[in-house]
Amino acid sequence: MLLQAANNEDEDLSRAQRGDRQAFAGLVRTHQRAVYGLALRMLNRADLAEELAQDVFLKLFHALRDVTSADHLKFWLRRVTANLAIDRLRQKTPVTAQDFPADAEPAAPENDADPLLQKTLQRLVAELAPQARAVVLLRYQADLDPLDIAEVLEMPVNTVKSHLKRSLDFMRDHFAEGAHHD
Amino acid sequence: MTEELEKELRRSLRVDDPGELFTRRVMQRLPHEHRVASRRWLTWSAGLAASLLLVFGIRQQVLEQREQAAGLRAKQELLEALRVTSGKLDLAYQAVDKENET
Repeated sequence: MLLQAANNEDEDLSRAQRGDRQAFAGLVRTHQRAVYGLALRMLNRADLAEELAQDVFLKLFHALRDVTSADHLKFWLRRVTANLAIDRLRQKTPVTAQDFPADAEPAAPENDADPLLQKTLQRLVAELAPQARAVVLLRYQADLDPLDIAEVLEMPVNTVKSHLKRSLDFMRDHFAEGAHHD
Repeated sequence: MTEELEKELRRSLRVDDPGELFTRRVMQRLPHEHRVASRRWLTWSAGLAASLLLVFGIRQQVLEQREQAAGLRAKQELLEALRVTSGKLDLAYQAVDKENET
């Protein structure tokens, strides 16, 4: 089934490269959740995330000829989304705890999910520096391993690991502090 | 603790698919084919016009150079003719002078 999906994607890609717009729409449908999801958790604003995600697909449309396979497409989309988001975060004032996450659209809550805990975690991720945030999102949202994250963000794998460790420590400390106050 | 935290992180970072409207908005932002075609036509036309101008300019320059060369040649021929005529006149004067002396 996975192989079939990959074949379909390769086919969509080569049709899109020959100018088939329906095939390109198929590629957008396949990857929009990942691209928009990464953008939303990076920027924490639905309108900015939508704009960024659209920009990513526009860039893809113009760079289609450089994409060699469905796997390469996934890698390309993650790299461009993360880099664009980091650039935009550097240009803008950071999101503060007060304005978070007025516009963010969470996924439909699971039955046993604790909404307060989820909101707190989202806020803590939003407080991370742009690069550390991208690392955490690629690890826990896109499910990439540190080697792949290093390739996507063009940074040494040890830097990725240290970002992950420091970010988890930061979150753990927050909860430990909270427990201490209780 | 770490495993639990990682599990909660995965859960809290999930985002729903933005849906078909998002796909449509992306497709609306793509450059339209006829616009692409007309832009390509415009580029071709501009290129053709520039080439024609270049050819016309070069042709004009060659014609001017030819005219200048022809003018120069005519001037030289005229000067040569004048020089020859003046030489002949000198000879004629000398002959007349000699006759007068005798």
